Amino acid sequence: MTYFVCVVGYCSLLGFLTLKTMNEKILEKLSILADAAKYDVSCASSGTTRPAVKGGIGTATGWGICHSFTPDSDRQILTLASALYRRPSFKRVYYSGYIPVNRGDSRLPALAAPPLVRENRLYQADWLMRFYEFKATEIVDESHPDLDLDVDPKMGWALRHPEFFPVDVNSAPYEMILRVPGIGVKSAKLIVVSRRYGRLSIPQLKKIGVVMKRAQYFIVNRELPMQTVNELTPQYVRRQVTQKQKNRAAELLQYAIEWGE
Amino acid sequence: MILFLYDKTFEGLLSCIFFAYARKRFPDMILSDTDQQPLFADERYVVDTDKEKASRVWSSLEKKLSKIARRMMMSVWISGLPETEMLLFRYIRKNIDHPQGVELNFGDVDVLRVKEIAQQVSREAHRLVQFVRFQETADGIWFAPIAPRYNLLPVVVKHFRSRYATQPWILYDTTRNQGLYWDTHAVNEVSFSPADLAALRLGQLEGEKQSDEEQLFQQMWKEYFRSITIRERLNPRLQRQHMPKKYWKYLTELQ
Repeated sequence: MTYFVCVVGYCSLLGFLTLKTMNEKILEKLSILADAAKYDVSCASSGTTRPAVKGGIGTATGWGICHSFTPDSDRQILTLASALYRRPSFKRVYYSGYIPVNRGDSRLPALAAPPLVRENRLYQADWLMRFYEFKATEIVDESHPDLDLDVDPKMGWALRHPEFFPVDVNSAPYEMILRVPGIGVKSAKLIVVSRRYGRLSIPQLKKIGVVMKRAQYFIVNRELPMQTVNELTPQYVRRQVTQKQKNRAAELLQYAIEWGE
Repeated sequence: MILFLYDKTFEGLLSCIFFAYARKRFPDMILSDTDQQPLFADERYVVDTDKEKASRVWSSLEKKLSKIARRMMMSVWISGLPETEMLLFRYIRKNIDHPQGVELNFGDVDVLRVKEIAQQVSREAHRLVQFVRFQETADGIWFAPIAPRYNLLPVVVKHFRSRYATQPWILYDTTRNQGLYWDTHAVNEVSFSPADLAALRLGQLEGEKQSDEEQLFQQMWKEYFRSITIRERLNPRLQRQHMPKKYWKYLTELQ
């Protein structure tokens, strides 16, 4: 169990706390953060440490990271997160898009809609670091400081690095299978234990849970024509995988912050 | 087509395995007396349940299969799906025939299906534990109607017995019309008349059967549920993923 206080929740949390508990320590903390937010908080965060519990090892800390409140790039956020993950006893980072709740205060920025897609992408990137053995520098780099909102971070990495593909799921190591878009941790594990009994065919992969819509461009198999990302070009694959999401994405358009000044 | 008839017990199914290997006749269908039987069958065998033979089959499986795989088989058995008998028969047969067992060969349709059903059953059991809302009756018993997809009462009873050990409760499965009553000492089976059952299916006890404070507490719980909601964070699709609509019928906050 981890706890966190994040700046994001500032507006809603402050209103909540003044009503409910009036915990001065937290109020003080929040007002410092709010002051900082007025200037420029880069990934302002504040964690609380959970005391050691029976059966657990040491203490655990959770941190919240605010984004879209400040003009930070995803690169800064993810680099901070990956630095935090290197600490011993560190459990998790939470990301939360800024949601204006207290609309009466004109000092706070107004936002037409919360940046939920970006929040989702940040969580996906976080998962890549925690479960898929990705480094923060692989997910975002200097030329791509922000996560791609159209495709997930794993697909984004794969499209930037077509030289790693195609992967033969019947012989590649687990780490490489894990990097194929459309194959998750569970499917990758099932593939690795099942292929000892014989070659896995495409229908078998589908049944195991591989999303062929995305994976078909990155794996090689005797049954598939050789139409991988290298033959089709990353731009083409990108169009293919985003086309169907277009309509949905239009509804969830990202809005820029309008500072009410 | 070869047809086996058995008594719909797990030992009976294991006896079918023994029978099949002893006679070298492998069935295309395993049915019980109550099932609708096909009009034509080339060979028809009635397999008598034999505890000793069943335990021989089971102990040979214990040597080959991990505890997890054996537990998955039991989950499949609990599911009671129409395909259960033949699926388990094929699963056991493949494991017996393969020198090391095939429990990790998820490329195989039957192995994968066993895993899927076992996952569904354990997920359903977990949800059942989460999505139970008790109502206090006038005589102080905590009553909760449930409608799980599988017959999970025997699976979850251990949890409820230790979790609510000091208070009497009834868990009532309205789809199978059977329930369990814990009187703080022992668990007994109960069942209601069809007339009462129809009333129970509405999800709310009738007014005079509820305790005095029950309505107030339900009101407060609903109020709480509404007031902790963050409107900007509403995500109905995600909510339905975590809390499927089929459970909403008996959830106080969503009634």
